[in-house]
Amino acid sequence: MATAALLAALIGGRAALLSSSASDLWGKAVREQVKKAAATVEQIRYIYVDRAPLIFRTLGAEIRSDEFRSAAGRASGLVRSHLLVEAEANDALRESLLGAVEEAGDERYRTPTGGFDVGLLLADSFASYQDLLAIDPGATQLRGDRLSRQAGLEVAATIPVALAFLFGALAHGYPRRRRGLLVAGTGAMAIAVLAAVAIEATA
Amino acid sequence: MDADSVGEVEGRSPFDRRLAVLLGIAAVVASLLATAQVGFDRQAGQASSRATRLATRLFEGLTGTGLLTSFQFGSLLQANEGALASSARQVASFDHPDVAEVELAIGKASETASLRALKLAGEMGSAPAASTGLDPHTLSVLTRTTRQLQADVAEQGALVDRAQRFSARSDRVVFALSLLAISGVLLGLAAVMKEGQPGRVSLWSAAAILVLSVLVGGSAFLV
Repeated sequence: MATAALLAALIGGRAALLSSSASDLWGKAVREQVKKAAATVEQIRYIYVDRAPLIFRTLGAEIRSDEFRSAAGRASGLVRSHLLVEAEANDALRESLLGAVEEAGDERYRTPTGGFDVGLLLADSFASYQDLLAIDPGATQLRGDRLSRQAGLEVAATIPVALAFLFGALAHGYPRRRRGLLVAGTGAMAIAVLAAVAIEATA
Repeated sequence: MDADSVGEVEGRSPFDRRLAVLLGIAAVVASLLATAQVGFDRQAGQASSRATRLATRLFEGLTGTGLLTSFQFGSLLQANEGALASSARQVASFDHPDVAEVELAIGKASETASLRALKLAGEMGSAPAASTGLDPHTLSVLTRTTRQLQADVAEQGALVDRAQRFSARSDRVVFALSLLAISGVLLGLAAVMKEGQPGRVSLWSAAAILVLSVLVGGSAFLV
């Protein structure tokens, strides 16, 4: 009975440690998810609130300048002069905005249709946060799930130990059946030890 | 020969044998309850963690798509305003023949520019493609559809319900284990007091509480 109690304490202690580690990992997974989400939202906000509207205005000025200059090419006299004034005013606006958003002038972000690849700009802005990209809360959660499952199996391995305790108690109460009960108790303990070892080995 | 007299022949009183049997049963019940408690606790912890993570992902998706949509509407509105202003300029120029030629030319060029700006707004405001090299996580945040967000809301609610159910079960089993501990203490008391009225009262009280512990533990599966 004392051996059974000791074995139960050992397996139970190991299960408690595993269970605690699993809880820690679940908590870590939540913290990682929050950290990653905060970084992602902030980066999206930076691009779509701080940069993209200015880039759009810069490219808008570029388009207007282009169209006015093109129309001036087909006009003459006062009309032509007015169109060129409009084109130059938009050029000046574009130059002024480019000081605030250099990306708008970067050919790497221009699409074949003359547009702007905001997705590529967002990808580049994330490139300097490789540590945040590497965070994988799902993997941490799965590690917690595995440890928790192992803890559950370890606790289940105490059931044969409890049966061994029962056989020991019965052997104490019924001395004439002592031999058979002790054999059964020893067998139950052996099963518990084998189960615990198997759980550890397959973890 | 009945069981009691066998025990007496073997040198063990019925009191001792009952005490031994109850101790053994208490040990088995304890291991079963502990296994159930760890299992329920695992289900509750797992569901709670997933629910919290999903809530975070949900807010991330709502905020991310909201920012993208806000930019999309803002830029489309800006381009549309330009198109409307240029059309209005061309219409108004007919009432002012002295500047009509100039205003008409500016209006037409401005209108063409606004149409190009509209196309640009549509392109810049659409969700990024995978070919941009954007990491899968950010890509999934920006491309979440309303249907996906609604599915996440439903799943998150189900996970919270699951966490609460298993937490209630775990609490019930902890109560059963507490009763079992009281039963164990009474069994110890009975062992110390030996036979006699106080010992027997302790023994039967321990037995009654042990049965109650089993019933409470079993009822956890019905929560």
